[in-house]
Amino acid sequence: MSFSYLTIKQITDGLERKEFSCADIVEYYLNRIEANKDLNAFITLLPERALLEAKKVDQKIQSGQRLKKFEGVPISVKDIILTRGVKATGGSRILENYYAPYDASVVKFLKEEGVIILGKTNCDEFAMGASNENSAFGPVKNPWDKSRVPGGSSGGSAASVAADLCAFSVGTDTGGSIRQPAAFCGVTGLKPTYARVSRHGLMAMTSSLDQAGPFTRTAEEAAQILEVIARPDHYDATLSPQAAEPYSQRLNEPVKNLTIGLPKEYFGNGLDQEIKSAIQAAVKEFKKLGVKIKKVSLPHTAYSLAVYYVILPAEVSSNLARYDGIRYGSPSKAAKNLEEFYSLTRARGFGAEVKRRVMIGTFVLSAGYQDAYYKQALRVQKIIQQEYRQVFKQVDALITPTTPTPPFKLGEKLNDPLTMYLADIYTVSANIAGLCGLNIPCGLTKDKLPVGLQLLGAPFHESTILKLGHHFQQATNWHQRRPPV
Amino acid sequence: MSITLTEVEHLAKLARINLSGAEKEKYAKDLSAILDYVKQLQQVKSVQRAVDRAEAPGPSQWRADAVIGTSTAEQEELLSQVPERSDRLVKTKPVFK
Repeated sequence: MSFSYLTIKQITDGLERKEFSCADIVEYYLNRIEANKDLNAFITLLPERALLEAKKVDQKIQSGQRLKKFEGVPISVKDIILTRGVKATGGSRILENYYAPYDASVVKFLKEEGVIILGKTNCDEFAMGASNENSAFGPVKNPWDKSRVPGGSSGGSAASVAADLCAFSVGTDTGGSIRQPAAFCGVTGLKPTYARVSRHGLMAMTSSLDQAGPFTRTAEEAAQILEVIARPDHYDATLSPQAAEPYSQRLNEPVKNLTIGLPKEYFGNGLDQEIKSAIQAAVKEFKKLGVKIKKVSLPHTAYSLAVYYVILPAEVSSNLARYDGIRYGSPSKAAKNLEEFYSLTRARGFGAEVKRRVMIGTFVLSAGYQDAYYKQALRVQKIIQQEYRQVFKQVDALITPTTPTPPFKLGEKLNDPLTMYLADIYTVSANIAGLCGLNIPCGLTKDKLPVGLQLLGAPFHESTILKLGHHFQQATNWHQRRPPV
Repeated sequence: MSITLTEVEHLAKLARINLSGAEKEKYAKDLSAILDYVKQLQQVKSVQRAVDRAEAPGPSQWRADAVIGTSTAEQEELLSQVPERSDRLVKTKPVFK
């Protein structure tokens, strides 16, 4: 039988019915990973460990025991998320020899349901980037066109799902790092609302915005995974006390009573024509499903990216102070005194983008500029939050393009940080305003590059966007188009 | 906003990152461009004063303020990551001269 692009359900059903063994499926993915090594999707691979776990699952099946929700399902995990006993670099040279002493809560919850981790995926250093070119371990290539970027920062996770190197992946999204690479690689990607999923065990980048979420083949699978990772966790004090919903049970509820807003600010200058057409076609599809469409306006959303590039570096400069090479990490051997030890260790260990953001953060928090930059950014963030809150009184969800352009060429934006930042222009608002967001594939350009549609939901309304995504995927087959790898 | 080489040097010193001459020139240019871009926030006028107060709702759940403690095995696991150690102590360059 063919193992090609199996869904989670096909894997768990096949195992239960003994159509194949867990070792078979793990070997299939390990062979795929080997055959697609040039994508550079993984930083660390765990073949022996994965096969050993697969054999245990097979023994369990042989002895007639029931399997847990994701038992025997092979997955990949972004390298910024800790998995006990496994190297965790976060894409950074400063952690090239660091081994995680504990499991992140998302990993713990998934392991409790029986997943098998095949490896840790490549990403931009400490999740800072929109192209995966800021990894100390080399860029990831887009499975649809290897001369192009997979998006970032969770580029390896997106590529690993798109190229069928695992059943699903877990990444993180601070300003678009799940949705943007999901769009560039043609897969489904969910950013839950901030405080929905525990951040314990994520290497902190921007603590007030970071959030973990899944890369999957369908919105239905994203719902199943969210049910598992959105569990309560006393290790993250910012987690919402509001209980998670049975997301997958709500997928088939009708959508024809729902209203979707089209914010005009997301369809202006700078949006690629082919993407615009694909989104318009998708909107027609939603109308056919009986969804009402309403034009809305979010005038301050244009400031989201500027707010993001003040709040983010400010928190980065503080969060990354921990990487000093004393308790862990790779220190400089050349230093003569403590001061030099810090600055040489960090100079050697951090890449160009990390240094840039640490310095911007240092600037916007410095005594003379804190009010004009950092505090002003927080004030504008509040206005943006209120604006979205008002709009979500009129509509149930918003549709926007996920990215302004299709995936760009490797190296194209590398020397121009500001142009690179603009790749996140449509995704950052969800983080700034505290919303949830879902990318679903909705078309291909004439060059056969994927186009992503973004569904934005009000805080903690994941069930609404997952339901809309699910109905769209029942009616269309864009999510079943595969890259030529 | 133009960031000078001296300002870059000062920021790098505060951030504890040693920069080469070429890096300083590049960052002076990059930082100026990025700060010019984010300066647009200063045009936003209709801002409520209330935001200046800490408005965060605070943690939704508090843990008991108690030491949980770690086992010797856990301590050893953490210490095994230390680049330079002396028995059970972390070794650094002297803090005081």
